[in-house]
Amino acid sequence: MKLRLFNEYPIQRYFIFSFIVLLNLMSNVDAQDFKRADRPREFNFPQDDGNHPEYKTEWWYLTGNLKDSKGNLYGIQATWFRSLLSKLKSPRQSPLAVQDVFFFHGALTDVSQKEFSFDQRSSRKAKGWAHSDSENLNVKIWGDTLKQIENTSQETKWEIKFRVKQKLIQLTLTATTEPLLHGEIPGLSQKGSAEGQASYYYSRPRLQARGTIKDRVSGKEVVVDGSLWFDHEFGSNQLSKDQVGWDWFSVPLDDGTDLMLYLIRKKDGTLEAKSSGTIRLPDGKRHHLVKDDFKVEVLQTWTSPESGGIYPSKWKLRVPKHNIELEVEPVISGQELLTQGTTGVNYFEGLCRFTGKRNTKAITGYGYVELVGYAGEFVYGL
Amino acid sequence: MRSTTTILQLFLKDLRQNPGSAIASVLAIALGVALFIAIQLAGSAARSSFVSAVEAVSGKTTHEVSQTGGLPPARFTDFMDHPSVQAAQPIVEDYVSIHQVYRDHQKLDQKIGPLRILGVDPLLSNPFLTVNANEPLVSPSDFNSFLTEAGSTLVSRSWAEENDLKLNDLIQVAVRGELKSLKILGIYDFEVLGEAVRETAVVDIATAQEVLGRTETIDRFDLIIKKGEEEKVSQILKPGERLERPSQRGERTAKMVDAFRLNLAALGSLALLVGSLLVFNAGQFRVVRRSQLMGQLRCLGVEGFQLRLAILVEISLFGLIGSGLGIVIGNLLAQGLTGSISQTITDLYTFIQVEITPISGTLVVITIAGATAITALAGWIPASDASKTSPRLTGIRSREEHDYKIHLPRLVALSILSFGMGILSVNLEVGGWWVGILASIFFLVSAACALPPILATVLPALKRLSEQMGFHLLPIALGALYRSLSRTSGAAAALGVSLGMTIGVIIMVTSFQKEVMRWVQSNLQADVYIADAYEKVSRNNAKIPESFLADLKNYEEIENVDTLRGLEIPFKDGSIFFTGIDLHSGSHVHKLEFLEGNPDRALKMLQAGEVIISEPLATKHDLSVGDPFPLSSRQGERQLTVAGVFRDYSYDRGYASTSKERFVQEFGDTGVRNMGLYLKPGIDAEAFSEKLRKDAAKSYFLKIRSNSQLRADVLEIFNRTFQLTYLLQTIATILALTGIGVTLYCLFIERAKEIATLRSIGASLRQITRLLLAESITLALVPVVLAIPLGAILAWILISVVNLRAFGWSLPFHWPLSEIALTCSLALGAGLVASFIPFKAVKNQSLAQILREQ
Repeated sequence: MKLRLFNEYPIQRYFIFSFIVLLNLMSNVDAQDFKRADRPREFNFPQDDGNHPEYKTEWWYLTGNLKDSKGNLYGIQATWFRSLLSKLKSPRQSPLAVQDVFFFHGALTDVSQKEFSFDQRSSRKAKGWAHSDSENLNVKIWGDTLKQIENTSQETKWEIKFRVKQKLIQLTLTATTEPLLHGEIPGLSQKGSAEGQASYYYSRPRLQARGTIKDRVSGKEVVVDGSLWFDHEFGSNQLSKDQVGWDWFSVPLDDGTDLMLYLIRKKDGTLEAKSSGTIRLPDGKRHHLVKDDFKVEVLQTWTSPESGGIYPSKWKLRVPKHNIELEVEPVISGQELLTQGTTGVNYFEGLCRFTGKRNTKAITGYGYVELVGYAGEFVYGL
Repeated sequence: MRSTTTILQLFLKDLRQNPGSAIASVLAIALGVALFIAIQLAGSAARSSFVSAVEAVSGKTTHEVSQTGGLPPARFTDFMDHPSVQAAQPIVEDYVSIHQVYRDHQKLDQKIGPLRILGVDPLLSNPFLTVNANEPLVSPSDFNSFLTEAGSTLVSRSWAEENDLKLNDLIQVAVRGELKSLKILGIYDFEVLGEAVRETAVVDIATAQEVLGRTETIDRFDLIIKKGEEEKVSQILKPGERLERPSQRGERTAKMVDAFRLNLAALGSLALLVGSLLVFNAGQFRVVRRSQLMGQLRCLGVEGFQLRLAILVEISLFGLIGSGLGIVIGNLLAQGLTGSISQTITDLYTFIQVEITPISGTLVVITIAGATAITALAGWIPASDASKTSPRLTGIRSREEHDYKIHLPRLVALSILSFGMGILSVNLEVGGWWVGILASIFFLVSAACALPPILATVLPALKRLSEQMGFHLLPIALGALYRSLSRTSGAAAALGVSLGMTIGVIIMVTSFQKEVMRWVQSNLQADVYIADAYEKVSRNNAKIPESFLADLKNYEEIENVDTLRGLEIPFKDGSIFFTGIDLHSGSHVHKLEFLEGNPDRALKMLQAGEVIISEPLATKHDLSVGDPFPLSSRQGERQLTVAGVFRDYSYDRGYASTSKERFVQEFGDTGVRNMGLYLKPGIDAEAFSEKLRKDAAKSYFLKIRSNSQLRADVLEIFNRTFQLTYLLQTIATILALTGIGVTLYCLFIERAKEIATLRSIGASLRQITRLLLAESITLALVPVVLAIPLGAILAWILISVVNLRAFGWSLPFHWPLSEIALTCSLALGAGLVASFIPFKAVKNQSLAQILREQ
């Protein structure tokens, strides 16, 4: 799951009040105006890869690893986020009138150079600025785009193009697996015990990626290929006020196992009972994991010199039910997205190496870990 | 050194005994400086208001992308995404007029005036403007409304407090002939917008588009471009798009008021001259007054250089105090002028709130140094003469006058030289209007230098003449004046110069006015004229609502309609007004007065989409019939052909017209901004326009005027334009007259002994009165007589050189003899009044006491 924070947006200095919007744009809209994820859903692809405007929030999330011809490893993250700010009470004349707001976060981890950089942009929904299609996958915020370019019975192909500072990343993605639905009821992912405190959530692990990372200043280009993990989630008001953050893990392992886990932390220091996960074994069978099905032990912490946040930085993951034991460690430290110029929450989103065994067989893989709520206040109202 | 201190102490004692003349000297210096400062400040304020208004909003913006008629919003992405662009912000911005303010549905009384609508996209993370606030400026829930609800606005705290505006007040603004509402959602401290643009409503860009009625376009994209990469960004520009620095836009706007500043520059040079003369006169007077004391000191063995030093210290102190005071007065005077300047610029160009910026340190230093130097120089010349002469002769007035008269031939030479330079500059082919100003200054200097020699020649001649004619008192008066030339000539020259300038301007303005009214008469042919009521507030956003145009079809009284579409567009390095006109049979275009080109052929070419241009445009850019006319339209660069040149006094920057069809093709339909209605025969235009006004008032904000009303308005604006000129002229003349008054006062006080002697040998009070009056009149009359030819020369320069080069308008001469005569008589009368107070002081002196003192 990828619950994004809104106050982390670096509005810098344009208007000091900008971040307030981002802090509050969720909480000020009456959730009753929207549909809620409160019942089973029949997913229909590729249409469900597209936009669901009847829900307040929606995000499309890509994380993964790439290698160039020299074997250099890169991690990438690209998120497109949509939030419906207002339902128009009366029609407005300006096509720029705000209804939906879109955000983009992008990050690039250059492992060989031990460099991490990130970028972020926002826009209202407007022609040529930002939009998302309902028919199939086509999301755009300024020049950052994610769209389906081919969909046949054999193959689903996407194209992704985004900017992280001066680097332009352009990839063609080919789906190699079926979508992986999360939640006890497949596709309905519960975030708390209240009705409707959930989102519709699925992943497309192991998207085969091929393309380039181009330096827009020097014009230098490297050809890369690798594997990305796609998440798509939509819903209205999933989180409650006593939840202060979460730890999220996702990894495609080399034995063919796909694993996703999340832990929602509560104010009182306990874990949300609805914390859960999904595992798809090499045989293609999907299993829902409840909180007690897995254990996450923090082995080490890292203190951010920038935000001061103390983040877990090494874990032991256990899924006893499936005889899985994994050690997780970031490929480089400091993969933290900072929210300069605002008082917003910073978060860690980093490429990690997963090593361990399933049954007795050694397994490994590059996955992503997201840690939210460790540096600063947490935002409610998602 | 000690002796210098002692001398200064003596001077000080003298000062205490005669504070009147000291105060008069300081005042004279102060007034001269004040006039100079006031005009300097007013002139620079007009220009800097434009530039600073642009800069205050552009903040950190390095470049702007714009296009006539606006940019399509989708185009913004290309710049957002450009590698050389660090940050970008779309801007929709304009002035609107506040119509009414409501609080809880109740109308409030205050009338607030214009309001700048600044539409930005707060969702973009751009460092364009800095806000200094530690607290949240609006409540979070309100911010959601700010983004999503139409008409939500934030205003600056200072402006809200000044106008007693509160949260949730509804500001109703009039724009494009209709009313729109803005709700105050937040009151903020927006320091970067600063004083110059306090009256700003910051709104979301969508609200700005809606309020300003341009929902399809964005005015400009503000960019922060990486250093040295401007070229890379300009490569993606499409035809018609401009990439420029904000300062270039500021300069382009500021260029609009160049002609207006010319007016102030001319007055500034006059102020400098009159001011200097007053300061010079005051300086000279101080020393001359000291002559007796100096003579005594020389007799006591004080060295010449010690005297010079003491005088220099004293006179410099006077200069310092006087110029300091003058700066304060000048500042106040300039503040008083701002309203008038704002009004004139708004009348003629575009809405602007002129605010006098605080006087710069440089100007203070220059002014104080300049004024002190002139004062010191003025005192130095007689002082150095005095210190050079033998102690016996020092302090004898005839000696001083003799010294002064030695300088007369030099003045004659200087006058002739200046005159020659004036003639030379007028004939200069190169240069702009400033050549005219330069020539005027030469002629003014020439006149100022000529006056003392003229007085020196005329006074003895008149004296002999009056003696021969058997007058008794008049020769004494003339003789007295002749003997005090060193004291009086400065003041007289100041009067002559300012009066000459006044006469010159009167001739120019009258000629101008007569010609404009003739032109208006022949050009305004429609019966009723309609315009957006707030056309002035935002020139490029004026529009008559379409629904009103449709309503007009229901009026049977209307026979024909003329419509005008127009935009202010960039042209070469400035801007011009470009219009699209209806070419039906009744169109006003048939009444245009063509100065060049065959009217029938011109109209045919116009029909085909070519342009006709106004005289100023033709003169300024050296365009004539058949020349290519470059047009940068929304569609890109076009090359049209000049089909004719017509007479026009409405836009000094220039005016070009094409057919309506061509205009729409190039700029899109921007809407009708002005229209003229031709009524059926027998319909009363006054009554009909009244009826139309009443009908329209229900839902529109339009200015509906009958032909005669419009003419009256044109005349009013014309007069208002020259109000400032008249005002400053009057101030200069009053100052000059004050100079005369001060001079006479000192002169009379100094001659108290002489007058007392005259009275003791039997002259009656009446005779004394006549004597002094004769002196006053003569002192005023000579400059007045000189002012007439000077005025004529200046008028000729103003009309034939300055006006033609600055505005491109050719004007026939008109001689307003009665007005000139009136001005001269007023000056003479004022001269008499100016002498009244000193005269009274002399009259009331005790004869016995004076004689005893002597």
